[in-house]
Amino acid sequence: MIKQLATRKSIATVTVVALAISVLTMGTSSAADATWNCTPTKAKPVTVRLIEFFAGPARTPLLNAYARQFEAKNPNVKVEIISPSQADSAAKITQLLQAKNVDIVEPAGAIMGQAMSAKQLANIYPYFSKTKGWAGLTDYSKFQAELYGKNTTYMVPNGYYVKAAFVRPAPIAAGAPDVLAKIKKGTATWADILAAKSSNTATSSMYAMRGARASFTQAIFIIRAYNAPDLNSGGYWNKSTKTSMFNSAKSKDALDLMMKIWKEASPAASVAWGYPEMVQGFVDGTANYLIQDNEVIQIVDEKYAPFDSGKWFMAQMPKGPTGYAAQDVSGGGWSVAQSSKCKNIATNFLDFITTDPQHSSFARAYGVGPVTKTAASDPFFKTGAWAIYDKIGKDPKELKLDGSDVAQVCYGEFFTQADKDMQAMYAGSLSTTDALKQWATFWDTKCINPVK
Amino acid sequence: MAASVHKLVRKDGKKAQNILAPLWFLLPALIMVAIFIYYPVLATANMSFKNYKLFDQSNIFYNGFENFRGIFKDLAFRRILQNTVLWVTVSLFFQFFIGFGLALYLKSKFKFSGLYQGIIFIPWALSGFLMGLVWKWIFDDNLGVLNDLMLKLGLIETPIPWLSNANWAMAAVIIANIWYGVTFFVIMILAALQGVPNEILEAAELDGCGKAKSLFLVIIPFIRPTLILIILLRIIWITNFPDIIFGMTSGGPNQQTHILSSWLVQKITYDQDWGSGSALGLMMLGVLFVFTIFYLLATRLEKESEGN
Amino acid sequence: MFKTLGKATKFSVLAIWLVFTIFPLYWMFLTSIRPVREVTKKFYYPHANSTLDSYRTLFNQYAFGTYIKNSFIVSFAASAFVIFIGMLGAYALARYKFKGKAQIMLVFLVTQMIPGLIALAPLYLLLSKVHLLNTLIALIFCYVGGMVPFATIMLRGFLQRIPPELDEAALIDGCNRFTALFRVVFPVALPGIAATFIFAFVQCWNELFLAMVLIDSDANKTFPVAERSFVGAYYIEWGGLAASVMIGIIPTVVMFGLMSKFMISGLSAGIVKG
Repeated sequence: MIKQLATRKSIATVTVVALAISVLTMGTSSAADATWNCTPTKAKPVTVRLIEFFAGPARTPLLNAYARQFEAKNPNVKVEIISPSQADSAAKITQLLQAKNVDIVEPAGAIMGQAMSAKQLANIYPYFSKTKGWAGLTDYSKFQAELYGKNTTYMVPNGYYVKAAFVRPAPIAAGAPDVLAKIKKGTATWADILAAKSSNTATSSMYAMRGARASFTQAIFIIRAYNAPDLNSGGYWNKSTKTSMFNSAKSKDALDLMMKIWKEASPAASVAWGYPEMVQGFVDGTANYLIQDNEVIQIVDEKYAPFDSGKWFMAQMPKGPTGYAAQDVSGGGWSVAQSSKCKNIATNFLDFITTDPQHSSFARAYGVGPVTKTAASDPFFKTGAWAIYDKIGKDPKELKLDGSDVAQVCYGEFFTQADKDMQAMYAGSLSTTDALKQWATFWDTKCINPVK
Repeated sequence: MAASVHKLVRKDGKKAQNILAPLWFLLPALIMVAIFIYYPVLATANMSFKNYKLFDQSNIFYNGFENFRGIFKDLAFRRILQNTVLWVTVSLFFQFFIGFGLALYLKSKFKFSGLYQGIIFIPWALSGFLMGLVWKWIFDDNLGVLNDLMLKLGLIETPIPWLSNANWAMAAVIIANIWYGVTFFVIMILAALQGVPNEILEAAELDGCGKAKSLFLVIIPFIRPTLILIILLRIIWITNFPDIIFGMTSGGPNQQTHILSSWLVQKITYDQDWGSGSALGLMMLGVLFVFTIFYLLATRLEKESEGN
Repeated sequence: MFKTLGKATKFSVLAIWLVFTIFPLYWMFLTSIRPVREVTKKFYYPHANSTLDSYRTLFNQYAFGTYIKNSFIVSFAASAFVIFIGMLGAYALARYKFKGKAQIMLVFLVTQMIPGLIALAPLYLLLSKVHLLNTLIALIFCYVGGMVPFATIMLRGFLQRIPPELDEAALIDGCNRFTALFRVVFPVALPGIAATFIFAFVQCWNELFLAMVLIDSDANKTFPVAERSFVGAYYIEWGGLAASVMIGIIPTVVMFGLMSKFMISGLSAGIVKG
């Protein structure tokens, strides 16, 4: 009891002292900038902790190698790469940000919005814009880096994730040759995907549906394809009506078609599929048509067959009735945590890994679209399975959305809610009309309307 | 508190000198339990009345019973509750009877019985989560060896949707759990059986008891206290055991294979809703506590009425 | 006639259960030796193409050497502390009569009902306050705290079987209670202690959730946390996962196999008498 009291007292003392210090130092600018003027010495070495979102054997070893190179160039600096299992990384990053125990994070998915609203990320523009890393970025990457306002940088892009279709031609040719021809030409529509159910067999189906976690992203693909080109730059609002796209009648058609594709053209098992299961389903031939990110190229190549074998090819996403498709190409990146005590060193490390050849090796190994000018001109990213991204890049009818809506704070809550609604629709306990009504209300009331 | 009560009283009634000794001995254990078990429970109780979402930390406030209400209002709640009851009763039933049977068979030694015992004890040495993944691989609708074998043997004509149909998936996770938990009963019941004195068995046989009769009239009554205790422990442990479900289905499809404890894992790790997770954990604790009291009272009452 | 029929039933039941028990592990073994492009083929048996690549991956691409070492340190240290603390508590509960004893037993018993997961969030916040996050020490503490009640109850049951005259004789010979416990009672209680130790060790070795939340850095990851990385966001690496399962079961299975006799006598004494 006495001991307890004592600790309580000491905690109170510490708090008071800390408060006093913070009040005293807040006014003086030198103290405020201390985290940007960190000089590592032998007596006071600096550790930069970086946590990945997408840890994996293709990229984690590379990041560790860069960390060692950086340490060799910068005495008294240690870089620690934290690589949680991807299933836990969202929780882990949130935790570390909250515990103020991290310098660099990879805030993918809903984390970006959350961390921005909690003011956990630092604006590194004043420092970073003077580096070689910044100078080497493509214009689009610079635009992405300044997404939260001109002359601010809360995230340095580290790669783009572009959606394309992975296709196994043989089984589709057997049951739906006309659809296969359209897929190859890049003119296939979502209705064609449903029509290709004629190629279903007892053991394989057309479409690799995502039925489990993040299943609503599938619905977003098709709803956007139906609404495009009437979409804002972030892709959740109609420009014409200035309300959320879920209000439009087209969205209803799209979602109904989606449900049909799920019931008739997808494997029954796909209701339990998340990302890894979808990819596995394509690799093992349960599904013949998979829409996924570029990093899947490497997996399919390794686990199923090399691209040259002709057993699979890449195609553009299906289009809506007006011939449009739309997708986010915002991709991921690195952010410096507001709580970092050595932001200059952390930014130096980002500069180091954003410069070539470091970045281009990273993009190649991991299979993401490059962010630097030199890497972007690398022929590797224009040939083989990668050729499709060049095509997507040049296609004006495939809208490239900038991710500004996904970066909204409300997105985290939408993610959870929409996922539950998808599950309810699959189970038949929620109608597409009601789901769209809920989603529309959500975006119209809880999110910031950028088109108004 | 009067110091005189802390006395070492030996069987012969003599008093020993060191009156605080038992507390000193117990102190380390009590401190550890206080810090690592009871403090978290209290903190959880506090958190359960808060809107405490890890991804929205600027917005943490007391919200009364909102978390509890949210759990009851959740569309999946009824199904999860049913699943929990099903999970506990069906798993327990098979684990117990298979375990009892094996223990009876293993009681008398045979050639290699030691080795046999060693092998069938293996499941208990394994991680529940990993074995969940292993079973997921076996039950996989398309790639799973189970469907493949059953098709080849002609037992089924089309693959069973083991993991994509909610009811089949529930059956699958329970099968895996039975596999995992039988060992516990074998060990415990075997241990209890070895405690039955041979004289009692011999006396029963002299009285002309058959094997079945001696089982029900002699052996079971003798090990009854052990059985009551291990069944209780097992009920609690199975309820608090999300590992296999977490590995096999993560509660899917459509939250239809969640039990309360796997739902709790989801709330804490994925949804990062610590307020709601805490409320759920607290409710589970309360339910188990009440259940235990009733269980112990019921078994004790039964025993007393038998005694009369 | 009935006897042979009974025997036949007995051995077929035993055989069926044996197959059922081993099958998942056998299947994992087969998965672990498949070439990477054949992992998704349904039927597989060992043949010329079988490979140890998946095992090599564990140590070349991943630092499984480190993870195994960490798991050993944590499991061993935690189990040893649990035995030490548990023995002290068990001794008091087995040898002394005092007011409040029943209440203390209840304090220990109630812990068995608490879903361990609700402790995750508070423990995370607590350990972050004392700067112990991401350390093996934090894990050891948590595991000890979590297992002490069960170990205490189990060991108490075992100590009750040891005649009190034994330590009383030691007391007369000039030991104090503490030395009597560890010099005289400890050796006699060894089977029960071994059983409790193994029980604790296996629990620590397999614990996932706490380790997942408390540990960040690669250098401090334990085995189960590392194994979880095979369930990537893009693909489940069945080959690597299977290989790691095969390796991860070795320590616990060896312990179990060697000590299964101890387990039975030890656990029975603990639980049956508890």
